This record gives sequence, structure tokens and C-alpha cells, in this order.
Amino acid sequence: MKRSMKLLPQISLSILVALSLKPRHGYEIMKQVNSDSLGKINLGPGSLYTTIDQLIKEELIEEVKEVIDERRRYYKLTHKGWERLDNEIEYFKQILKLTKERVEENYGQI
Amino acid sequence: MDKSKKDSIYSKLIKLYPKKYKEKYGDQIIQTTEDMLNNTTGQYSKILIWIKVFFDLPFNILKQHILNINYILTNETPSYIRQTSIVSNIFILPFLILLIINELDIIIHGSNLYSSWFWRMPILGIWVLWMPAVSFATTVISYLTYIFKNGIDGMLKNIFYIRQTWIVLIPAFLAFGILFMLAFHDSTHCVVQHPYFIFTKFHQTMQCISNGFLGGK
Repeated sequence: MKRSMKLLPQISLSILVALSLKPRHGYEIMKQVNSDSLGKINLGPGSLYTTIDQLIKEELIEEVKEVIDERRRYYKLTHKGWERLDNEIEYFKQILKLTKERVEENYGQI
Repeated sequence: MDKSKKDSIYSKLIKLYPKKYKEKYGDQIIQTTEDMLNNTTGQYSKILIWIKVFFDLPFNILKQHILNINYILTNETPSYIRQTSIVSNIFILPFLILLIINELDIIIHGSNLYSSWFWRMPILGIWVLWMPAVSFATTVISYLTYIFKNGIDGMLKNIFYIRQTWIVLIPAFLAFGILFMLAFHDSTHCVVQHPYFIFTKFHQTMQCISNGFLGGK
């Protein structure tokens, strides 16, 4: 991850993770986010679309052009979105590795 | 509350979103809420969903309006309007700050700042009269430039198109209010005793303001 790049807010990251399986519409994203976070993130429709709008502006997700369901709009990750998700995962991997090493070294000593 | 009543309140709430956002996501927000309700069984669960939705929406409507204002300020408002607004606000800031400090002093210590150097001429004249006057003049010039930017033809349209000019209109009204109040303040010893006189006895009004604040008779 680039040093200057800010970390994504938790809700934004959760939506990217939810869309990494397949394109989804609003309610599906909501359910997937809730399930992925083990029930800890419970989005309302207002917050969901505020975050979706932000992610579209940042070009991390986009609307699926083909009509899957006339009443619902589907969203998918863009190339930039996949890259960003990859960067975030790399960052968390490093943090986990560092934390694990420190716990193994120091557990019980402090 | 029955379902139709809740739906009606909900659609009214959705209408409170900024226009562009509402056009883009309004129907999707309603659809997602419908999906949430259709996939839930039991009256209690549905009530919980409505509570969640009604708490979630106002905060996000406010957030979208703030983002919308930010977008207008950065992308639509001419830079000279933005700059004038900053300058004029800076010029009326001392008045507002000193007024607040004085009121706080009265409330907390039971005293006031009337004997301090802020309240003595010529410093008093600067923050009470000249700075609001400069602020008012700057905003008026900026607003007039905006109004006449397309010549006389677009004038009427530009007068009422406050979407881009409200940031100079607010300090303009504020500065005008300060100057207007000043004309009737006891310390100016004005002959003007009624707002109507400011128009009929304009010359005397201006004279007594300058007498009061410039140390004249």
C-alpha cells in the first residue's frame, strides 16, 4: 500500500468485500456486509447509499450496465476497486503479522 | 401507525434529499427498504426495521446536504465570490467576537468591557463602524459584479440565483444589520428615533453615526 494512501473507512471496505464475490443490489450488499462482519455492521438504507455514492465517485465500484432486475440496480467492483481491495488486504496482512510477532515475543513478559 | 401512513412519511423524508441525489438513489433507497421489510417476518421485526430506517435517514439527508453545499462551493461558485465571502466574514468577526466576550463577561463576572481599550475611540470606531462598513461594501460590490456578469439581460435571473451567492449575502445582511443597529444605538446620540428617518433624514443619520464614532460633536 502506498504510504500516502488513506485507509478506507470500515463500511466502505465492507462493501468492497461484499462485492468481491459477485455484483449485488442494495439489499444483498446490506445482508452480505452484516454476515461478513458477524452481525457487527448493520447498515440502514440511507448509510448504504451514502457510502455507495462515495465509492462510485472514487471510481472503486460502478453500476452494472446490463439490466438484471428492472427495479433494482446492481453494483460491481471496478479495476481500481479490485486494486484498492488488494492493497487493503496487504496492509492488514502486515499488521496481523506484526501483531502476531509482538504477541509471541512479549506475551506474559509485561 | 398503519403501513400506508409510514410509507407516506417515508416518501416525504426521501424528498428531503438534495435533488440530484434523490433522482439518482431515491427509488433504490425505497426499494431496499421494501426488500428489508419483505424479507422479515413478524410485526416486532418490522417495527425494528422502521425504527432503524427513521434513525438512519435524517443523519444521511443532512450529510448529503453538507456534501452538496461543499460541491457547489468548490465547483460552481465563482472564485471571487468565495474570496469576497472570506474577506467580509473576517471583517465582521471582531464585532461578533467582542460582543460575545462582553456578554460572557457580564454573565460570568457581572462586569463589562466598556472601560477597556476596545471600547475607546479610535479602536471602537474601527471594529464597530469601519470594519462592518468595509465588509458590507465588499460584499455589495461582489454581488453586483455577479448580477451584471451577463449584462442587463441576465440581471433578473442572477439576482434570485442565490445558490452561488448566499455566501456573500449572509455577511452582507449581517454587516448591514450591524450598521443599521448602530444608527439607533444610544452611544451615537442620534437624532434618528425611528427606522423611517434613516431614509428621510439620511444625511443627519450618517452625520450622527460619524459624530458618535469619530469623536465629532
